[in-house]
Parts: sequence; C-alpha cells; structure tokens
Amino acid sequence: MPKMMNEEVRGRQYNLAIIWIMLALTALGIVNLYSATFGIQSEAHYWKMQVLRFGMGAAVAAAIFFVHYRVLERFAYAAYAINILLLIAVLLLGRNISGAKRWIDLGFISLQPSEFMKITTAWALAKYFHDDQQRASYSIRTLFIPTILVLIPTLLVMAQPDLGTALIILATALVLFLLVKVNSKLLAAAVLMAIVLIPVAYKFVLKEYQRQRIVTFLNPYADPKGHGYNSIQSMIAVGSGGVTGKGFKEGTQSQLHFLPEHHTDFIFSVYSEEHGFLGSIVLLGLFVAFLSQCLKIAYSSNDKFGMLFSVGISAIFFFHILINIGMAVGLMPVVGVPLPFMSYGGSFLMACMFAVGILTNIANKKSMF
Amino acid sequence: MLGQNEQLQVYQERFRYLYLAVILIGLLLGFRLWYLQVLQGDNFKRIAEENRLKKVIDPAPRGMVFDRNRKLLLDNQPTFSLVITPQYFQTGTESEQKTAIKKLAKITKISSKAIWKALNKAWRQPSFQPVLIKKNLSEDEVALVEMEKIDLRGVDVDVGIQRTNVFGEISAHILGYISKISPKELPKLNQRGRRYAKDDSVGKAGLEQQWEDDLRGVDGVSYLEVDALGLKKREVGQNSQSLLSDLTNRKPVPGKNFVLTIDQDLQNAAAKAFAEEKKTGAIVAIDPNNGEVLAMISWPSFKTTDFSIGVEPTYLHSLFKNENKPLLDKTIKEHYGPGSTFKIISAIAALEEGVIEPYTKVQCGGSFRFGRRNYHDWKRSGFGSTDVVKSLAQSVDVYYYKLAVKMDIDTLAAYAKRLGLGQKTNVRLPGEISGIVPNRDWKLRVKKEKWQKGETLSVIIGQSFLTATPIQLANMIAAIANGGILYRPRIVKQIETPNGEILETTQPEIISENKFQESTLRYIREGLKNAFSHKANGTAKKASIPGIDAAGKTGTTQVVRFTKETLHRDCKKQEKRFRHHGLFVAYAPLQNPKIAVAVVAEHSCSGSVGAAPIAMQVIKTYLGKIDPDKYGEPALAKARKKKFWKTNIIKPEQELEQEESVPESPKLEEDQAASPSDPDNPSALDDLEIGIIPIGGSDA
Repeated sequence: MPKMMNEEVRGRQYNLAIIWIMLALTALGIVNLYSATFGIQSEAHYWKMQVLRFGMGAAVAAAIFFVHYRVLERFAYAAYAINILLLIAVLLLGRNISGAKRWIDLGFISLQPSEFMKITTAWALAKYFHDDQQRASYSIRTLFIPTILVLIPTLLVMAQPDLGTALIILATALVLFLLVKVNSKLLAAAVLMAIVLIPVAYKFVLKEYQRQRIVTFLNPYADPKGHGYNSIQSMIAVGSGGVTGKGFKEGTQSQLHFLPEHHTDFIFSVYSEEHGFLGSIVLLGLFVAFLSQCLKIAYSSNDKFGMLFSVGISAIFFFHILINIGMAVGLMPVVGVPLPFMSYGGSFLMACMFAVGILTNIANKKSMF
Repeated sequence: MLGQNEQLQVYQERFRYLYLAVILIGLLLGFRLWYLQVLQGDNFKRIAEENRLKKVIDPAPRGMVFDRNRKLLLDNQPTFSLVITPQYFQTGTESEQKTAIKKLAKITKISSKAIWKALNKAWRQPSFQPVLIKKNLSEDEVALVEMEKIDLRGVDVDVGIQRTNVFGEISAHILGYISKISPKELPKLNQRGRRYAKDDSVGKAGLEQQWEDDLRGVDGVSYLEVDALGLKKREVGQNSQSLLSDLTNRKPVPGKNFVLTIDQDLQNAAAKAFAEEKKTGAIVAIDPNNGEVLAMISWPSFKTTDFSIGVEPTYLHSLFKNENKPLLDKTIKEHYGPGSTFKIISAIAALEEGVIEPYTKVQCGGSFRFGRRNYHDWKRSGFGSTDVVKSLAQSVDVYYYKLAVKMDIDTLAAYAKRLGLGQKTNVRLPGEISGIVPNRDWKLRVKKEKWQKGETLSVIIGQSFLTATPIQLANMIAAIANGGILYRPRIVKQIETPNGEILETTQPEIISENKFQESTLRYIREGLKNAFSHKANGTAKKASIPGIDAAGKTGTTQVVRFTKETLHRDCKKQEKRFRHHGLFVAYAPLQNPKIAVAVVAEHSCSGSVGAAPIAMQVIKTYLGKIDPDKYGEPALAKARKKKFWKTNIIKPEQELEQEESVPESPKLEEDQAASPSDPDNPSALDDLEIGIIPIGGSDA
C-alpha cells in the first residue's frame, strides 16, 4: 500500500501518472533506437548514449521536482535571459553542422540551447501573465511585451537556422495568447496579417531549401528521388509495416537505409514499419495519454503561473508529436522536429525530461511544504 | 477586475478546446496510419520490396550455330573489360587513388589522364554504375588486374559475352551479327511482346536477325537484397519468403541451336579462292536435289565478332569507305547482269517454244544487223555454222541475236521467271532483292516507254535491264541440273534444343516444277558440258579440272557503258571499277549432280578466268568430300597424269598453244576464225553506235 504509506508518512498524494507514461515511452524509444541503429558500425553507441542521457535527464527532473515551486516562478526571467544569451553564443561560437549552427560545446557535453528555449519562453510568458493584472482579454498594446518575449528567441532560432523550433516557439506562444484571450479586434488583425504576411514570408524570409520542402510536401512525387525522397520513403516504411509490422529489427526500409535520418527525425517510421498499425496505435495512444496528463496537471494547478507554464509545456509536446508523426505519415512537410522520448538526441531528451520535472513539480506543489 | 480564482475558472473553461485539439490530432494521425498501413499496406509492401530487391539479370546464352558437319560457327565467348565504380574507388585516399590509376595505366597502356577523364565524366552517372575503362582485355591484362585488385578499391574485371564468328571473316553475311539495341529500336522490339532491356543485343543482320526469336533465349532473373546505396546484402534464395509471388528467381533458358546446310569446308575454299587472287564478288552453291545451300560467300567480308562487343568507329568507317562494299551481302542483296549465263534460259525458251530444233544450224558471223544497228559478237571473226550445243559451249552471241528476232520478250521473260529470276528465292535471310526480268509491262510501268525489239536482242544474251542475284543464278543452274525443279534455297537444316533434341528439321520446298522436254535438257546439258571441253573449244576449258565432270556456262556483264575512248581498250587495262564482272554457273557431276554453283567475280573481266576457278575450287572440295574414291586427291592426280599424256604426248603442239592462248584476244585461237562473217554484217566495227550497243559476252 504505497499510497497509504505516503498519506500516512507525508500526508499528501503525488500525481506520478505522467512519470509512468514517460518511462513507457522512453523504454519503447530506447528499444526502437536499438533497432534503428542496428547494423550501424557504432550501433551500441546510440542506444547506450540515449540511456545515459536518460539517466542525466532523470537527475535533472528529480532536482527540478524538489525545487520549491516559488523558486521556479522567481527564476523565470533569469532562465529566459540565460537561454537567450546561450542562443547568441551559439550564433557566435556554435559548431556548424551541415549548414546549421545549433550546438554549443560546453566541454563535457555539447548542448542545443534552442531545445530549452521553447520551455524558457513559455516559462517567461507564464511569469509575465501571472504578474500582469487580471484582464478579460488582451489587446495589441497589452500584448506588446509578451510578443517581444516571443519574437527575440524566434528570430535567434531562425537565424541558426532552425525552422522547426522557431515554429514551435511561435505556436506555443499562440496557444498561450489564445488561452489568456486576445480581444476580437486583435484576433481579426492577426488573421488578416497572417493572410498577408504568409506569402511575403514565403517569398522573402524562407530560404530556398525551406520553400522546396513546402513544395515537396504539397506534391512529393514531383521529385521522388530528390526533394520528395525522404517523405516518400517514410510513407513507404510506415505503409509497408501493415497491420502487424515486419518485426523487431526486420524493417527493410530502415535497416537498409532507404529511410533517411531514421534515428532522429524519422524514428516514428522505423517503429511503425517494424510494429505495424497495432504497435503504432499503442504508441499514439501513449502520446495522447501523455498529453492528457499534461493538460490535467495544467487544469488542476491552482495559480496562473503554474497553469500557463504547464499549458505551454503541453503545447510544446503537442506540436512536437503532431509535426513529427505528421511528417512521417506524409501529413506535414519535412521539418526537422524530433519525437519526444523516441528520437535520438541528447539536448532534446534532457529538455523533455526537464519539462516533465517541471510538470511534476507543478502537479505536486499544492501539497508540498 | 477578476480575482485569480475566477480568472483560473475562466481559463479552465477554455481547456475543452485544448483537449479537443489533442483528441482530434490523435484521431487524425490514427486514421492516417490506418489508411497507410491497413488500406494501402499491401501496396506499400510491394514498393518496399522493390526498394529492397535488386533484379539481377542472368543473361541466357544465345543459341550456337553449326555447319552441316557440326563444325561450330558461332560461339559465345567470354570477354573481359576493366571497369571502375567511382563511389567505391573514392573511398580510398587521394594518394591511393593516384597510385591505383598509375598501376592501371601501366597494365592497360592507357594514359592516366585518359582514365581520370573517363572517371570524371561519369561523375554525374547514377550511383554505383561502373565506368568502362578498357574493353577486350587480354588474358595477361586480366591476370595483372586481378593480382592488383586487392589494393585497388572499386576496380573490377567485368565479364561479358562476345558473339564470336569462329572462322573470322568467313560467312559474315549469312551469319550476320548482333549489336546493342539503340534507344530508338527498343520500343519497336518490345512491341512484338518479347522483353528487351536497354543494354541487350539483338540480331541485326543475316541469320542472327532472321532467327532472332529462336537464337535468343530467355534471360534468367534473380533477386539480391540491397541497401539504399545499392550494396549487396544477401542473395534472396528460392526458399526465402518473398512477400510477393512475382519476385521469384528464374533460371536462364538458352537459345536454340542451329545446324546449317552450309559446309564450312566449302566456305573456306571459296573465301580462300576470292582472297588469294584479291577478287571480290559472291558465290552460292546449292545442292540441286533439295535446295540446301552448301556455300554462300560474299567477298570482301568483315569481322562480325566486333559488332557484338561494340565496333571500333575507325573499323566501321573503313568498312563504309571500302569501295568493295564489305558490308553488303552480294549473294542476295546485289544484282548483276547475268550476261551469257542467261543464254541457258534463252536456249531453253527457244527449244521449248519450237523456235529452233536442237540440230538447227545457224550461220554466225561477227555481228548481226538489226534495224539500223549492228549487234556484235564478242568474237569479231564470228563462229560460222552453229547449233544450240555449240552456241552454249562457245557462247555465240549472233546465234541468240537471230533467235531473238523470232521470239517475243514476254515469252523469254516468262522462262526467266520459271527458272527463278525476277523474284526472291525466299531463302530465309533478311533483305533479299528480286533482280529484274524486263518485259513489255515492266518497261511501260518503270521506264514509261514501249518495248523496243532491239532490246530483246540485248536481253537474250543477258544484258540490258536484265539483272539477277547470285543466289538466283545458283538456283537456276540447280534446276537445270535436277531436270527443272526449282527449290526454295534453305540455309537452316535443323533447329535443336541446347541438349541436342531436334525441334525442327527443314524439308525441301519446291517453288515450281518445270516440265521441259527431255531433249531440251539433254542438248542444253551437252552444251554446258562442252563449255569445259578443249575439243569443243568451250569457253570454260581453262577452268576445267581433270577428273571432274562438270557442266557450266561463263558470262560477263558490263559495269558501265563504254565511251568511244574506253571501248577499244583491253578490259584488263581499264580502271578497275570500269572492268566487266565475270560470271560463272556450273553443276557437277554430270550424272546425278550433287552441287550447283554460281559465282560473280567483280571487275575480273572474264567469266572463265575470273569466276570459274572459284566455282571449280568449291566443286572440287565438295565432290572430294562426298565421293573421295572418285574425286579425292589421288583420283584427281591420276586424271591429271592421264590428261598430261593425252595433251603432251599423244596430241602434239597446237593443243598446248590453245591452252596458253590469251583469253582477251580470242580471235587468234580458233579454227572457225576463218569462217565467213555474217553477210549482213560486212564489217563489225564500221558503224558502231557508241553507248547503245551492248557488249556481248566477251567470254573466254
């Protein structure tokens, strides 16, 4: 009776469901990563690295869990500022890998600050709205500072360039703005602006390869060996998994490298090819359950900061899952967005576990201390 | 101003949209997965299999071709070429690459620069496509490359098949050649339902083209599992479960083997006869009893083997430029005026139509006046009293001029056609032409003019518009030999499976059966026999081989009309391309003939000196093989000795002189030279009308 024990000993109830789901996802992720990188010369490297980072992530999450909730709130802008500085450092000193500056070398670990920027932006926004006076809705003027808070990291991330992360920061902010409610005038203006600005941005802001991705998304078969290759091979991988899948380590699309980036961006396709529709639905179900837990924590938080921050984190997870799986099944353009707990990548896994740590903190704060 | 708790409640109300979004996206992705994996699953499975499995073609060996004695004529031989796969090659360091190229340059004697150039050019090729560096490696080169190969990444010796004509240039035209399909041809070929791939070869001439469907086998297929880079992972065995039934391995089925009617010994003898005396032209030898083609040579020839592995442009260019047209099959694709060989048909027509009787004697001077023109005999002094036998043996032009006056061109043309002229023999080889047998209709149709009686005088001695292919002439003389039956010439005797089971044996096919009077054939044959006779002063007497009883007819045909300047010149002194063609048709032996031959020796001036020896070589070779007791070398040696005694001891000097007499000046050699000229033609050379008068068969 651990519950009873807890109640007896500390007199309160922990919400740990999200931890169990996360552990399930991570376990699936590591097993799947083992398969995805099986046959690569240093195959052991990948899944073992992932386990190691999970361990590190777990330590971070545990630390966050035990931090006092108020500390979280007070630290918001500082975290935001440090992260912005790190982003600037990346642009100045970062390692250039295949045309993008995303990593900064901290000696013992190479870090991708943009992965944390999503969280720290939501963090800062939650703090801002928490401190702001109670408003029924926000206008263009009252939303000015939050907009600036969003645009700075967005532009810095786009400069790397990392379109996927920039999009997620924007989308997350949009969810928060809608939750605190913008007034109808601003909403109408924003919709109008979007209609006008999207074509302009398409033409002048996006780089050639980014435009190509959108064209390819609309019709991948226009250039099946070139730009459409990734998308098509991924759909072939997913589709050829059929109902029951080809079996563990038996996915021909991934094992024979027809599937590009199969341990990072297209990790879902690997899983889906080997475990079929049934396995994919289980995974999708776990993600839906995970998101519901995130929202449940947000819903039950008893202050504005906790609610908005956890909604922001939920939105980050939500968009990652939507874009990544959508890309794998050909519903989204190919944007390099990893899948939480499944994709290989240290910074992202750490960021996810950091986020989970924050969620558990928020979930359990009311009964702590 | 709201309190914090009220505000939180307001926000909480908005959470339904957030939950809704999660559920909607969950459903959307779920449905998409269901569509891809459940609905389209089999489709994508097939595509994934096609990704993973590389089809490897195991080429079927082409059918082999043998002569009638099962001597191998066409073989498939391995050929080695040096290839480099750039993607593998570039895994080496720069200095490794440089030393590798240097080594290869040394082995192949190709400059390093040229090899680099070939590699760089291939940079844009599809991945893992080997680049050809040198084809036709010698055995030494193969050994050297194989030895060094461990150090040379991406360097390979590619084994191909070259279709080899075992006898070099001999039989190039009948065997034909295969070569790579051009992109233009591909759709046309696959229209017929047979599947050809882009790099396949196809028969493009001769037998290879005609019997393509039988010679070509069915390629085998096997599947290899490859990764995205095209690297082999493992072979997919018969037992390994492939998700798709149509991806099963298939063994190659070799093409059918062919046994020809051709006798390679005769081919060799004929080619040797042409080559040794630097003659060009064609020979066709047929078994008169069934139409089997025993020998068929067009000369000069070319190396067909080269075509199967990609012919060198310089070689091809030299073939095209050669004025002797080595690529042309002169046996079936070139037609010549038959010259005096046509007199056989003219004589048959006259005898059968009752224009003359066998014993009818005609006074023959040096020329014959018809209309306002003089038609000259090849022998200016004339022949005197001539019957049909003598007319054939000595090729008396005036005799036939006189017959022509009494005969209609349409009658003559009908006999020519009955003996196979003017129509394809339908030997099963591509591109045969039909030659021309002119008659009234033809003249109106083609020349838009009415027939002139004078033209009959030219046609009757085988000149004017009349043309025939060598194979037609061979078939004609075969019909004379066998008593009038015109067979369809056959070149294929048997078609067999690779294991030697007989699939088809071709049967004699009769085109037409001529019922000539017995006496007609008898006198014609007598005349042809006498052509070889010294006693009868036959035109082919110099070609006769003691011990071989043959019957034949010489002929010459002019290549260009003569101008006043060139006319009087000796043929041998003309520029070669203006010289007459020499023709010869013959059969042997006299009783139960076994072989009938037609020869055209281009620009050789003379049927007897140019063409007849080639024919006699082939006849001698064949008879020596089928009846060595009678025609073998010992028997012939005995006959030579007998003849020597007869000519040198028993018969004195003058016979010898005759033998040595110069053929180009036949006037000097004949007794009949003294006989009176045709009274109609007092002087042969007086009123020549240059450019119109056909030159008679200037035989000898």
